[in-house]
Amino acid sequence: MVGKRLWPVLAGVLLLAGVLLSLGIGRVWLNPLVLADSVFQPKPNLAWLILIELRAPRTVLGVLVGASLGLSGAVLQGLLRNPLAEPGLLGVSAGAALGAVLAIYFGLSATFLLATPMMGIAGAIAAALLTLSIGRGGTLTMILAGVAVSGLMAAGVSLALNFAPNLAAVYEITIWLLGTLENSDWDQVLLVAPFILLGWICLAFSARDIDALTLGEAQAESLGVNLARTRLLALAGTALSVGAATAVTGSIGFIGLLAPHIVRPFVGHQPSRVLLPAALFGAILLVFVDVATRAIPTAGQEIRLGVLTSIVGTPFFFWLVVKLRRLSP
Amino acid sequence: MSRIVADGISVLRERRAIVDGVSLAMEGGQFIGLIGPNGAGKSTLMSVLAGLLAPERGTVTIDGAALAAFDRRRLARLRAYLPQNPRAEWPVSVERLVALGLTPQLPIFGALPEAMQARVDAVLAMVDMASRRDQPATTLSGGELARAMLARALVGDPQVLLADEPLAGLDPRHALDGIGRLRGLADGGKLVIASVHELTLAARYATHIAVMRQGRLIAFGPTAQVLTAALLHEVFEVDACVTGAGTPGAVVDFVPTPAQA
Amino acid sequence: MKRRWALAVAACLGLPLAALSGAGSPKKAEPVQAGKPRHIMSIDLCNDLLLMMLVPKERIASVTYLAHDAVEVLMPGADAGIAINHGAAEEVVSQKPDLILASPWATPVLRRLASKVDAPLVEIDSANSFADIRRITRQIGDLVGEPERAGALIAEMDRKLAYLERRRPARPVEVVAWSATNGVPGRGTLTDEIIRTAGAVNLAARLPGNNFSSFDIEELLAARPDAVMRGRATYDDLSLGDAASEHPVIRRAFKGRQISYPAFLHTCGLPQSADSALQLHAALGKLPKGRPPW
Repeated sequence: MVGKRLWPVLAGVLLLAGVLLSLGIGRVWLNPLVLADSVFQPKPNLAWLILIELRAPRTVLGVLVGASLGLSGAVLQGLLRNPLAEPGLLGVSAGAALGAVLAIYFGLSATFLLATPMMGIAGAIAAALLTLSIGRGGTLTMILAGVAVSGLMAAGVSLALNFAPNLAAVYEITIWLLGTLENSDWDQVLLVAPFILLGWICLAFSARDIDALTLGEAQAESLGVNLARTRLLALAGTALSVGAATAVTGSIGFIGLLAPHIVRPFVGHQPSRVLLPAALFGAILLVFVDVATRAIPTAGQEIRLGVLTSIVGTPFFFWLVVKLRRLSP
Repeated sequence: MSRIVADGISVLRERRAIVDGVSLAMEGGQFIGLIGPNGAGKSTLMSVLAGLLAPERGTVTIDGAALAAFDRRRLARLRAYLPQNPRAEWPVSVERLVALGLTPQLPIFGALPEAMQARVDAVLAMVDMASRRDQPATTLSGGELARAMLARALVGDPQVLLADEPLAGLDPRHALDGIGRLRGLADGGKLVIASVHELTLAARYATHIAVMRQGRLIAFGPTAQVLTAALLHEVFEVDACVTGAGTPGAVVDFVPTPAQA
Repeated sequence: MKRRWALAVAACLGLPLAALSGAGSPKKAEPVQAGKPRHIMSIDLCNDLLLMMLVPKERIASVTYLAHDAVEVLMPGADAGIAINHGAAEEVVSQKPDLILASPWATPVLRRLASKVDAPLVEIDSANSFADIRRITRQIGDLVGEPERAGALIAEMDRKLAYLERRRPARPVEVVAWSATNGVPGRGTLTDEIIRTAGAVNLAARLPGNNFSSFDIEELLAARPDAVMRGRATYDDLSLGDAASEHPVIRRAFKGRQISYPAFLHTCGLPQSADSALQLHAALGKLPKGRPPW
């Protein structure tokens, strides 16, 4: 196995490769040399427009979203000591989806371009507050509250689909839910970046606490960990980073679940050591899958990002279940 | 030398008293064996003494300062707590597991400082786990895990150690080993409180015995005085034969009553 | 007494039945009644509009709730006092129309119910060309008994088309009606014909396949059309598509080269669709000279 010293190099190389591919690949093939040279040509020119206005924000957003999913997944797996935990558990992703769907439903998205992500962020925070207030007093209670809130938000989305006034609205809501980075622009990046970075800070601060949770809740508390604070940091961090991410991209699954598992063979099982690698690998994974959505030739509609992450992620999920089954007595 | 005073502790759960008006005064150098039948409230009392559970009535003070007013991290440095059946949730190495005991001393970010690494090494050597330092904690045997957890508790050099059934599930050699270490810590000046079911071992190694039944403290004092057949009959409702309580050769035998024979 | 009631009911039911006996299959309708239909119900937006242009209000049973916003643009006030329907089967029963104008997607339930209350239901195709518009306007005109009005509308439309034919530009401009999610109208769509009639070239007509295809933003930029046409929804059209089409790069790259058009005149084939071609022709004349600058 790749040694402990090598993984940062490997991760860096992979991320760089992913970024370069993402900048170089799109529906319109442009010679990479032409793309690079476009920086020096008089503006505007086609390569420059495509590179800077379309592919660059898409790449940046891909990195931000992928890292958020990976980081949040790692924190939640550490908090719950459960390898199947992932960011969607707390109801935050479902809340972001409902917020965005409501923006589409009430036509706000047609009048104001950033309405959808803003409503998505509001939805994520509302869902998190609901989970927090219902789920006080214990980790299990918080998870159950998260499941309940997810159900409530999903019911809201179904309601919106049910009462959508025309087929076009149904189609657009459904397509949005499948997840995409297609329409990324710099305004979206500027909108979500502060939330995402703030979320990362919250999640990073929980690192020590989730390390102590390796010993179980009783010993962790005896070591001075304030479990309520840890849960709050995990929830707030997920709501801010994953909520903002889902608000711009739609529902993207499996990255938050997969990334921590992929890095554990390299960096060990200590929860705090998994955080940064999981974030990096989540970014790498998402960027590569996004490149694949552009590269896979389809007649008509591009394959959606959320669809492809599911297709790629489900076999891994099966493998994980089989592995756990073998390990447990 | 730490001194813990519990005064009139009561813990209620749905109006039933799990712990009922318990008062104790303990200090460093003592190894207190907490005994009593199942459901007597021993674990609950230990949680209260450790500061992890707030009692409905009564106070606990350490060196005169109320436990409730202690800052979490300061308390964590002062006392260590081992719950029943401690286990590692992730297959981290033994060394990492033990190092977690230093969490209260660590800054928010950053790796383990050099000085602390030396403490980890020392305490691993003390419990004879140095050869297994890189082994995943989830692959240890019962006795090895118990020693590793003890190392985790001691690495921060606490003044007080509270252990809830530390000998549960251990074979005779490891049980003997474990309780011997606890007595050694007490002899070194620490205050050790452990709840045990193995009365012979308690009779040999504990300096003091606290007896609980149905939430109440029945007796508390030096082992030789407290651990008598009459007391055991009253508390455990079995006939016992106690010889040499408080000495290294003590034996506690249970004699089956005619109804049980 | 009872027998007289029965006779009256039979007469009421029997007369239309007798009159209808000469009717063909629902798809091919011919003038079927001795008099003109007096209680016409339309359950499709495009048919609503044609109906209101051809017959006076008193002979209209109801039009769909969607019609109002389009009417406000096309012929303000024309729907005042006309009842509203939601295309529901129960309304067919309650309003008892003597003619129902429907789209080709009328549900089987509706068709069955219509035949039960003896209301002839006619499915009107959607129009993909001006020839279709002529045919359909004439068809509805004949159905409602107003062939002259229909002929007048068609003549007006043909005048406008002839006007445009005389003013074809020497060098046709390249446009595309682009939307991120709704598909781009290519060959065989009404939009395509409107573009051609206005004297421009529809870039999407070069794409393989007919009707609507998808067009990525990168492809749009690479295609460098002289102008981008944006469908302007004149009524509540919930659309993330609109917002997505507003990717800032389009706003910036096609500054001064965005032409909006009334979307409903393209989705509904009406004689007034020729106006859209006229508007487009005028807008094309105002474009900056030369191709886009990249």
